[in-house]
Amino acid sequence: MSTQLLSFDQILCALRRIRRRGVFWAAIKTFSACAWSVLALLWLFSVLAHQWPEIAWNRWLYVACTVAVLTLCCALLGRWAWRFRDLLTVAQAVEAKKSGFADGLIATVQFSKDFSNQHPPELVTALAEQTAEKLRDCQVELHPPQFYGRPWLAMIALWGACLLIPNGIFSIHFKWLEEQAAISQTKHQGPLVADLSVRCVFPEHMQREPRLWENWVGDLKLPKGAKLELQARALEPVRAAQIQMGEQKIPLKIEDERKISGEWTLTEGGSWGFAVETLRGAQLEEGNLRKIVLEPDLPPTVTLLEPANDLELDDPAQIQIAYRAADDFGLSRIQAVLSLAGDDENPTNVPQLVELKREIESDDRIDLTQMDVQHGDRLAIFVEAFDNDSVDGPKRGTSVTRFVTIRSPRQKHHALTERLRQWEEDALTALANRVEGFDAENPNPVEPTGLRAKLVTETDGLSESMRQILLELKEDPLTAEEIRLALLSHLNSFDDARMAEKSLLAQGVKEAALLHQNGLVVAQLEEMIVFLEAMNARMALEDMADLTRELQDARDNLKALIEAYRQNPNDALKAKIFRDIKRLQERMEEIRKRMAEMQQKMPEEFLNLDGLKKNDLQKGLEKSRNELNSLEKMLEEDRFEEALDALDKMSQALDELSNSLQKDMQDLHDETYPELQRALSELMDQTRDLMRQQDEVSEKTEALSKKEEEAQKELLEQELKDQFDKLVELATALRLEVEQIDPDSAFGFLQVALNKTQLNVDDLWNFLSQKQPTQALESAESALEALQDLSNYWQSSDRVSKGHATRGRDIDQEIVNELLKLLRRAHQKMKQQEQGMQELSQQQQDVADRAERLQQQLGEKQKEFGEMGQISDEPLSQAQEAMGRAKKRLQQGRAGQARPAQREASRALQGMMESLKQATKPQPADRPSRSQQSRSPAHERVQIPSADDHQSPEAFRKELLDAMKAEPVDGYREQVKHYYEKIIQ
Amino acid sequence: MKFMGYIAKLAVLWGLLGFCWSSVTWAQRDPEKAAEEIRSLIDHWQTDAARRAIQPWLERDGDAPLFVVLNAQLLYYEGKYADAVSELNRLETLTSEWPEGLQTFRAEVESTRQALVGYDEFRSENGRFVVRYKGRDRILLPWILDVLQRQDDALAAHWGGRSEGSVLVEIYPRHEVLAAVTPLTEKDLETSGTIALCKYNKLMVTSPGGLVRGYGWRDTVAHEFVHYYITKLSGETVPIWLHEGIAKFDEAAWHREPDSPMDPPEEDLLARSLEAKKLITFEQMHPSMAKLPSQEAASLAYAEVHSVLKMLYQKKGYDGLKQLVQNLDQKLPMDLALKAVYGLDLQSLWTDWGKWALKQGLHTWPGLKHISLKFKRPGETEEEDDYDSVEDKKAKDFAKLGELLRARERPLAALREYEKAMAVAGEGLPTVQNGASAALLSLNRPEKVPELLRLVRVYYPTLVTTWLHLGEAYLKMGDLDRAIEAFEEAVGINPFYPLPHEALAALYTQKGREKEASLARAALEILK
Repeated sequence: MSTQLLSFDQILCALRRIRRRGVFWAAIKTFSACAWSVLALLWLFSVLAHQWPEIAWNRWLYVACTVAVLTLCCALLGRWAWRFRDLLTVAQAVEAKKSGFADGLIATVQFSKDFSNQHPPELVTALAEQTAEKLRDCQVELHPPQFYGRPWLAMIALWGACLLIPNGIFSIHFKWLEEQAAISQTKHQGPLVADLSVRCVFPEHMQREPRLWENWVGDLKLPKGAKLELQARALEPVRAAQIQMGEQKIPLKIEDERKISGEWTLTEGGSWGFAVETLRGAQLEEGNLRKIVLEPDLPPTVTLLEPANDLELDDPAQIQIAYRAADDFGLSRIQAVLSLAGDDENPTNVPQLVELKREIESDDRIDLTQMDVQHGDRLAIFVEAFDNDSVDGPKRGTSVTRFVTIRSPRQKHHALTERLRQWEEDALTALANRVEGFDAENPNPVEPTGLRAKLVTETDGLSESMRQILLELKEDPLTAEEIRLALLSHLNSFDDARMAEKSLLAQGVKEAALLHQNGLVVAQLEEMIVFLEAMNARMALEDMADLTRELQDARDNLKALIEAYRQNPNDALKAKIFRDIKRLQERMEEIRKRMAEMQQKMPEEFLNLDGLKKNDLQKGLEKSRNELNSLEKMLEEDRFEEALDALDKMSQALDELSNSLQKDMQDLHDETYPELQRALSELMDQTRDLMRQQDEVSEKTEALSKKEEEAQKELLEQELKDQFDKLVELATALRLEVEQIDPDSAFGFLQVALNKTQLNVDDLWNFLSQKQPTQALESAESALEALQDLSNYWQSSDRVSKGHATRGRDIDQEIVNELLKLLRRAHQKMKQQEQGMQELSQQQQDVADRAERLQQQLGEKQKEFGEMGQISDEPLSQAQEAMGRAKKRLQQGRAGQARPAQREASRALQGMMESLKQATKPQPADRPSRSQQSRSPAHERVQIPSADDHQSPEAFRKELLDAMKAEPVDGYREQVKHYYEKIIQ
Repeated sequence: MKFMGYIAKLAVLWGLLGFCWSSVTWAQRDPEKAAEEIRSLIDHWQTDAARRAIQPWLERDGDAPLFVVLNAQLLYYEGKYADAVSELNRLETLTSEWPEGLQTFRAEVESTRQALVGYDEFRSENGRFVVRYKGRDRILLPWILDVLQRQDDALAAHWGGRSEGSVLVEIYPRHEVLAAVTPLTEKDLETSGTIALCKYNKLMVTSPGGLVRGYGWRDTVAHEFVHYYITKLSGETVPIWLHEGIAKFDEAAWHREPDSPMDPPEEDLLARSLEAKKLITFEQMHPSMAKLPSQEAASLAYAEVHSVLKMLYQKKGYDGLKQLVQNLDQKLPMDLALKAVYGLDLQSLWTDWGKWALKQGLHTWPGLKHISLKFKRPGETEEEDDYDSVEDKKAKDFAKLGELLRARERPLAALREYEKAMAVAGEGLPTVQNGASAALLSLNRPEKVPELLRLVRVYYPTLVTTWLHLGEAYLKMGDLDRAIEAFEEAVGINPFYPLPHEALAALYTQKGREKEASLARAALEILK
């Protein structure tokens, strides 16, 4: 019995041990799983709260979930463990795992319960022993359900590791939970203070009175920068208090543990509340926050009333603007801003001097000359206003931008040239209609009467439109007058033919006569078309030349500005330079486009002109335009020399183009007016011959004059020495007399006469000393006139001076007489010279006659060629007059005195030659330079002359005195005398 | 037997000795002398023979500067510019002593090499002609080869045989390229109207596409080919007047009999110059016609030498000319060389020719104006309208009006204006006559065109518009053969107009000349 018991005990103990162990491990794993679940739940709640913070992720919910999980796990564990309350179940589980028992274990457990004599004891004993032996040798573990597996332990370890990672994702989430706990820890639902009063001091610019809210409970709308002063009473004693507004924490003062006060300046809107620290140390915060909404300070609104739309102006002098500006709190500054289109970096600001209020409506007239605005420029203009925000600084509001284009005369000119081209097209149609209309070979013949009516209407229309164009051309400063006149002349001829045709039609003449007249109209149309072709080409070339000149001027201007900037760098000059660079680029682009346009529109033969054929010039301009970009960079880097060199290189292309264009215009001119050119060439040849002849006569006169002088000199030194010496003595006496005249007593005309006398007397003395009687005579005669005036007009009261003048006059008269005698004698002795003089005189007359014939020819040619109308024949008249004087002197045997007149004649002929040369060239319109175009005269600075400016220069005074010494031209003596008299009146 | 064996041994011995001797003599042969011979061959453009002569020396001592230089020159004359440059570069590493002029030569070679970058090459079937061209100029290939072949046959017959080797022809798209590869400047070319040269063993031709109006390029190519032949025969011994005279005389050999009458422009110019006694002397033609001061001067010079050659040919035919050239090749002075054949020295030749020319009854052609060659500038259109030939202003104005009206599709009115121009200035005005022809064609009256263009065709045979109008007129009249002729002439002046190729493609097809038709269609493809 005892052995059985022992075995049974052993078996049962073993089973119990197995059961204990199984439950133990199951519990471990169960709680591990619980821990994982809790952590997973924790992480899940953190993530959810982080992602959707607006949802109140309550920790009780979290606790409830955790408890639920724990309960579930414990229930599962308990349920499993309950199954093994009976050892029989344990034995069954062991046998299920270990097959060697062959139900012996189960039987043993059964027997241990029901130990009866139903079974033989030895058998039971043996079974028990055997089973005990087997059980001793085997290791059995009871396993909990599947989900309690080992991987959970790994998961737990992993989560734990994640918690340790600083700033790891899980840490962040867990931290949040801490904060929530912390927050929720201190939130207090109700108010913490009472009797709250808030006083608001508004920012200065708002000009509002401070405002007080007592027992304030609601929300406020306040501006940024407002200073809030608050006072409140804590509901319980506190030792510290602050205001919490977002991130901001504003400490408050505490008095008597209850009174709270403080101030802060509002920088942003939001919710705020009190936070206090009670005497017990509890940190409390208000749960129900108060709200402050920021009142916005809006930027000003600006409305540009005038100009109401984009504008185009003829005169870039002034522009009228009107505007309205308003701000919620007030304006601090208003200005009009102007800039050249595309040059926003360099605006010109025009401050508006107005009383600054919240709302302003005003106007102004802006002077555009300060921007150096030129024709063709496009300006952007707007008005900007700034408010008086003293908190964040003035805010800016702007109006719409309007664009003002300064019309260029060139635009009108282009429009006119387009109309001329169109007219040419219409004329060609009319010409073709007339030529084909009555042609026997016309495949589509038309009834003559109807045709004629149509043709007449057509040509009437042409005439009318051309007249209109010509009227407008008259106002166009860019069209040469000679073009307009020539067109007018052609139009008049055309009209004559046209009117004649109409007259014939009205008379009902025969067909043949009408056909003939048609031919005449056709001829006029042909001439006009051909002429217009050439003129279109010419105007195009002139436009190009004008643009090129503009570029050259702009280039020179830019060079000067760069030089100035180099001497004195300043921002204003720099801005001007950059603006001019932009302008230059625009002009280059314009000229390049114009060239391309012209190449499309010009008659093909004119495309052969070298200036236009050279695409390399266009490319050169394109290149130059791009080089201007690098010019700005060079200036920024102070590389002035390089900048100037770059401008010089650019100049070469422009100079080449300019030269080519000049040549092309000349070629075109020659081609258009070949007969005129021939006529001018002939006239020039004749003028050249005339000049040569005159030079020959002048040279011979010079030679003769020298010979005469030498002969005279010889004569005077030998035969007439005594007479000459006497003359010298007289001249000396005269000089003395004149020196003794008191100059202070002479005034006005007398002063002039005295000066003349003194000069001539000095010259007389000199010429006599040098034995030049002819020149001496001239001086003596001039001095005599002056002395005569002095003697006659001097005040009788000044007897001394008058006396000297009178005596001087007498001496001078004697000198003149003696000189005349001397010269006559000398002349008589030099008779052989006389013949030479006469011959020369005759030759001079011949030259004068040729000049007269040339003048007549010129007149005839001018009648034939209207274009020659502008050539003046005045130089020829002057030349003839001078030749006449020279001839007279030669006849008088005074070769030396003929020379000045001959020189004058040569100069006049030279002038005539220049006029003729000039007439061979095309006469472009007198186009003003852009700088002249851009300023209206009213706005140019007027230089007020100072006293010094009123002094005539010394050279001029000397010239005047020299002129006085000279003998007046024949026929003008009285006028000269009256002139001097007027001076003294 | 014994004796025969002895003889055999002796023969072997002598053979060995001979071999040794030749080796020794070869080793001792003078390189300077060999170089001189090679140089002479190169000067005569006998490049194949020169190559054969120089190759052993290069193999023996390829680094000898003397032969490196010669090889470079030979390569240049063979048209292998890159190799020539390499050879000259190699020379730099071999010696620092460069003969005078070699740097200039290197620059020329390099310039040529660069100028011909991107060119294609075509070799004729028989390998006789190698043509280099660029881009659209390949349109010229069929015609240029035809001309070259026919001219080659004619010249071979005239001058006693074909030269050895291939003939290199380079076609340049513009005259600037010609200036780059020759010692001439662009100004020289434009002033003298030079469009082709034969130098450095090749023909250098400006494409007709490089001139505004094109030009008679076929005769020009043929003309240069004559120079090629003469140089091959005589090196550089023939003076320029004779060279040009022969070239001018023989340039039409490919399609005309020798000693054909002069073209009216040439005859007119010569007649006027003889009358005015204003001639270009032989000395003035030296060193090159391209250096003459104007196109008119150059044209006159050509007319003179052409006339001189006509005289010489009439005296002794080609035999006389050949003999003269050979005498010069023998380095005989000109006077002696002439005397030996014609019994005249140079001065006498000039005098005799003057008298002979006056007796030929050369006459001026009223209204004929000298029209210059116009070289294209970058960006220029190919417009041919030109009023240079119309001097009278009124006529010019009427012509201008005609053009304006024609451009506005008023052909009848245009025709009347042209008629007014003709009434003033006569009928030899290419612009006017061609304008009127175009108007007539628009009015569908082609039958009047040939007569209208009769004088213009004779006066100005190289105006392509004339031939185009004639072709169109004949086509409309149904005269296909004449239409073909006219369009072929147009192609022979400026093949870059699509119209003649279009017409010829159709005409050849109608005539069953499929090969030519396909060439015409191929040309159209190229022009697309």
